[in-house]
Amino acid sequence: MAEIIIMPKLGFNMNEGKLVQWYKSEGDAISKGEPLFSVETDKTNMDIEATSDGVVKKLLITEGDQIPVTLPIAVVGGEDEDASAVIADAIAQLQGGGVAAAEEEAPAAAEAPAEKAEAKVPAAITGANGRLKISPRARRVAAENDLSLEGLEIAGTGWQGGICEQDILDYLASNKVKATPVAAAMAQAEGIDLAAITGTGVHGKIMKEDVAAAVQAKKAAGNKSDAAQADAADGAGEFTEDGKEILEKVPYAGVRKVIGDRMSESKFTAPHLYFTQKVDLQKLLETRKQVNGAQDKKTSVTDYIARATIIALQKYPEMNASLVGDTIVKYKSVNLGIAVASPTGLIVPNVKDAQNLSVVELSKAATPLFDKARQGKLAIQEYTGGTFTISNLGMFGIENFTAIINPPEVGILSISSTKDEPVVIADEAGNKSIEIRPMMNIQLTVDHRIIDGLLAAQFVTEIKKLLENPISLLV
Amino acid sequence: MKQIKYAQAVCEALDEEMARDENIVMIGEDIGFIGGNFKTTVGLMEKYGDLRVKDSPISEQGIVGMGVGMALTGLRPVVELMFSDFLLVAADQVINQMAKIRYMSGGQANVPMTIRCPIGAGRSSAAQHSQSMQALVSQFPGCKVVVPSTAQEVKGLLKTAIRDNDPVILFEHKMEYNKTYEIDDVVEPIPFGKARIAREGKDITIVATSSMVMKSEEAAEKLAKEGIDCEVIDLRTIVPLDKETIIESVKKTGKLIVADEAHERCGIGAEIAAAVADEVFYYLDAPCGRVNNPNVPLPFSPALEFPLIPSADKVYDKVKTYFK
Repeated sequence: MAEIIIMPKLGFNMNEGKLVQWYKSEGDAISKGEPLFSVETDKTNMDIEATSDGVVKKLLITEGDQIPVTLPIAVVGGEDEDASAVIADAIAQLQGGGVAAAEEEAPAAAEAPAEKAEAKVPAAITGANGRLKISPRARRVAAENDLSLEGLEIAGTGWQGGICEQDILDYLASNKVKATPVAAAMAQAEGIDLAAITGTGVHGKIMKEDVAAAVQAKKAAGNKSDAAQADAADGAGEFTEDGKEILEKVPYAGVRKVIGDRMSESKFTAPHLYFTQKVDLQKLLETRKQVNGAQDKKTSVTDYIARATIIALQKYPEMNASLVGDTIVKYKSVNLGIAVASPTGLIVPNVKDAQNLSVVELSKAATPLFDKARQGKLAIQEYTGGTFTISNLGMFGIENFTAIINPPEVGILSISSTKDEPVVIADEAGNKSIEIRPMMNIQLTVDHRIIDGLLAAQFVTEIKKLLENPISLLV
Repeated sequence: MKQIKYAQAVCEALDEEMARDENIVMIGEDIGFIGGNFKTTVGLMEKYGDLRVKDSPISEQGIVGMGVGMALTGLRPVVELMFSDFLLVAADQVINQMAKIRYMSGGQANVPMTIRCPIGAGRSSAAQHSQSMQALVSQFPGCKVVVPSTAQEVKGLLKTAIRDNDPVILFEHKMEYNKTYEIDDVVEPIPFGKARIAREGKDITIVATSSMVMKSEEAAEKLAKEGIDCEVIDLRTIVPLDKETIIESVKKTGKLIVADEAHERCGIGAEIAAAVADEVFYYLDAPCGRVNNPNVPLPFSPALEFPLIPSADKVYDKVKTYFK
């Protein structure tokens, strides 16, 4: 079976890869482990090796091209294999990703004239007016299966080359159980339904590890009931080899693993730097009381902190940025993420274009996101695309904590609880006295690759000032 | 079961009905002494007398008009027109009288009358004796239109037509008369408005009338060997139309072809295609197709005539365009 080679994602923030060099030409034989091409990442050039023996059927991009990761760049297949269908699929994917396939070079064209004919998206896909050529029945079946027709790249086999019902069913079938051969074989051996597994590979492909996790989960579930029975019988639980009694085994997979991978990537990639400030909330709490008395929407302290953060981000746009490849992108839009504990784990929905929202508007925009997050119903666009994150554990009485940056953002603000404390207050004449004030710790974490200490200190102090003069948050 | 010719099946239906109900009378050209131009009334005049089986002058308008009058007096006339083309000679009596009297009289009078006439090309009968009039008469409200396929079907449907209290035009196919079919010893009347699934299939629906049913079955047989599983529906009656059976089939297969021997333009195929698009548009996986006579007069010369007639091969070719 011919295989599509994709632009690999080699780094956490790598969204595009630049092809430095092809080591093979079309028609060349290649064996497993031989370098096929070289890719430039944000740090270095890397050689990518072939994963199986075969013949290079098609090179889809040329040296120097820079394309998004996971898009096809080449097709490798068996020597006598007709890879034209796979090539057409690859080109369709590539064009679906907004990249034009490389023009055939003359010698290559002479070698493979049949492939040249295939080197176009099948004309079947769209009619002359650019509309999808699809039968009403296929449209209905797609709708029933929640398959979006937008950008759907399927070659039609129906009436005059349009997409018919069978094409949709085939597409759904092939996409439902997109699994690596090893994963498929493992699943079959273990009697696990592939459709029940969420793939973590490219385009949701089910990988060996996913099946392993599912197997473990199944065993754990089995053990649990076995253990429960055993408990009922003789009161004994399961033990580790060194004698520790096991309460429960939970597979490290799915959302848990995604969170884990992201957090460790973040902490290992971005050098974290921390700054703490103590904020006097007396005025803010009074202001909040007045605001909540004056209108219907009950605002929370988090809403004011969010507003203060947004104002500070606009003053210091370096903090509202991402490191994308070799470019630091500063954003005008503030998509403010607010961390929420959801049933499956930590999730950070973000309020889009929050820069123009007032405290009350922010509160109104954020409340439904929190509700959805707690119900596990967030849509993907609601928790992606954030530019800065705040994480509030104040309600749990936490004195102080440090947060890990939510990549590709460059900073995160952790908010601890508000507690009455004795504070030294100086009046205008310089007379000092001790008063009891509601005090709150905020801590800023920044990515030291991009943000230096001075900027971080200015930023966190700006937030402190804004919170201590809450009228500035309302104007 | 027994083997009889299609013409004999028609004759048996007439015979059995006349024996059952003495109000049934027949009128037509050469139906008595000769036994019918296509031998569909052989022996009936001898059996029931020349009062009940009446040879008429060559005047279709007269014959149909007489039938309408007899029906109004309480008889159940069965009028034979030698060719369906002659419906046009009698058009006023058929369309304006026979089909309208129940409505025009406010339901006080009804016309329990049957017109039998043969359709179809293939006998070098030329442009004025080879036409298929089923789509034309279906246009007008007030009479039922029957297009039987096999001998068994024509016998059962003719019985129903004769017993119906409203006017019925039943189209026999002139190329079927001499063909031999296996038929049940006793054939009960077949209700109108209920199509017959002649062959079950899942890939494409072929709705056919009259002899196109047998041709479609033949094509389906050949297509099955190539892995294309056709469902053939014998429509039986155009008025009333069994949309339900067609729609259920199209929901299953997603593809529809209508095979009918009348000219393609403004035909049954267009009517059924429109009905299907109206009701189950989102089940269609391809446009509705038609197999018909092309929109030209039927020639006398067999060399020109046969290529025009919709054949099993034409149904086969049409189906193949859906499975490239």
